[in-house]
Amino acid sequence: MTFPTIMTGQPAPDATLMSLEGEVVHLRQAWQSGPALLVFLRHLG
Amino acid sequence: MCQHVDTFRSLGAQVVLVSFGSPTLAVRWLRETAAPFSLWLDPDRKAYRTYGVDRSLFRSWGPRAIMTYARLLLAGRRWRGIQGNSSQLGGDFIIDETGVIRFAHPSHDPTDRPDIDVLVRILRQASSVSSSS
Repeated sequence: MTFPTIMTGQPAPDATLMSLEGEVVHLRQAWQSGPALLVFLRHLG
Repeated sequence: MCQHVDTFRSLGAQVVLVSFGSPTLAVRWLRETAAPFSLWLDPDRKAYRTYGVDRSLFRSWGPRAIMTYARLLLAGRRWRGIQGNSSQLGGDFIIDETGVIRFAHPSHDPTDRPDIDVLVRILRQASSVSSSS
């Protein structure tokens, strides 16, 4: 499987996720009022 | 990373953890780790794929990863078992307020995570972009 290459300087892709409360959230909300650090976790072990 | 929460706040930065785990597991994990960050769920891993965060059983369980896990266990880290797909790797990305990627680091293996000082330095630079725009 080939994944896209994400490069610095590019616009960050948005994505739709879910909060722990079950609400729809958009990744772009993370950087709407300041810089964001997105940490993609491995399994929750 | 939890030790730097005040630094993140002072920079106006939001830290978002993304997981493909179930809501039940995620709530339990947050409670057990006391991580003071948002945790958003991506059960079908679309965001993982969009950001090029790879999967590899071979790299997930290579010698370096096993040695790291062994060291953590010997240091007293609790083993919670494997919850979900253990071949999924992680990754770290910094986005500035204008929506531009300032740092992209999809992990090559589980031990391949950026140094926290690097993340703070880039967040600081990204924060200065935000405050000047």
